[in-house]
Amino acid sequence: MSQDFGPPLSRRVLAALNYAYLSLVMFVIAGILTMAMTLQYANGELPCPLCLLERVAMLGVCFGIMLNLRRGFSYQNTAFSLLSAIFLLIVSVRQSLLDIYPRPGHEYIGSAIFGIHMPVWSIIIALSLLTAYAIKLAILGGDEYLREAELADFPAISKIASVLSLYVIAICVVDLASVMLQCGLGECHTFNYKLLQ
Amino acid sequence: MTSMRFSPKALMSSNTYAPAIEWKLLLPMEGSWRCFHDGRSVCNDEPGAHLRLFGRRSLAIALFVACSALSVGLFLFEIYSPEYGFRMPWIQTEFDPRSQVQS
Repeated sequence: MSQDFGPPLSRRVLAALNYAYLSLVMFVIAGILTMAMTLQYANGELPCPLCLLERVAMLGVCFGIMLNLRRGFSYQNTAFSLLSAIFLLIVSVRQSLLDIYPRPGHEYIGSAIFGIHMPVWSIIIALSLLTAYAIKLAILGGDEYLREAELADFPAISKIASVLSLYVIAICVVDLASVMLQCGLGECHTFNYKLLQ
Repeated sequence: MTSMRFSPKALMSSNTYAPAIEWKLLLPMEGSWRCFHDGRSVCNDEPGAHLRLFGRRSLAIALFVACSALSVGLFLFEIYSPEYGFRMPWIQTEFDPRSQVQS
């Protein structure tokens, strides 16, 4: 009986690169969401409804990544991330068009980071995500090596991915609680937390 | 996708390749139970097992779809406003000859 020695080294390297790439994307999104929540709680900058939808879209990107890390590679999971990135792009373009001409009640909400406001950053983030996925598919394309090597075969990346996944889930839970405090079950406003009045 | 629960002994001894059936672990993480996915096995005490967080994939996807549908609905509600909907009157789209650069 022939013994299975696993995929060849080059395929293992490709698989490791793919999982490292996914973890890196999740790390960046987790950083962005942490920054947004820090500004919300430290500076009192309450998010607008479209800002909240942008957070949902970023969490959707992470959802697809987490499924890929957790259950093995599937184009279905990748599609969840891509759909969320497209939704992020649509919402952020809409918000930028809404705020592009300052007028009462429709200024850019929140602080500018490096001179750019959050909706414009969201466009950059969405385009970066879509471009990064396209480049990944072009360079690391194919899927045979991903089906042969699972995340469990790379203990270091696996541990990092586990911690990141739990952190993103924690952000999602805190965000959900925060939205409930801010909006209740009605329309969202950026004046104050509705349930704390 | 079909999920089936088996005894640990049966899971440990099984080596059947069954790509259409997902042998999913639905029980606690202790011990050296095995999870079969597309013919591959992953032990619980391996680091990757940490990512087996909260169970069913189909439930997670259903919640994701519901959340996405709600988000799209809220977005459409936002952009169908009669005041600042699709018309976007604050953006000047008419041709302004004064802005033309003379060469």
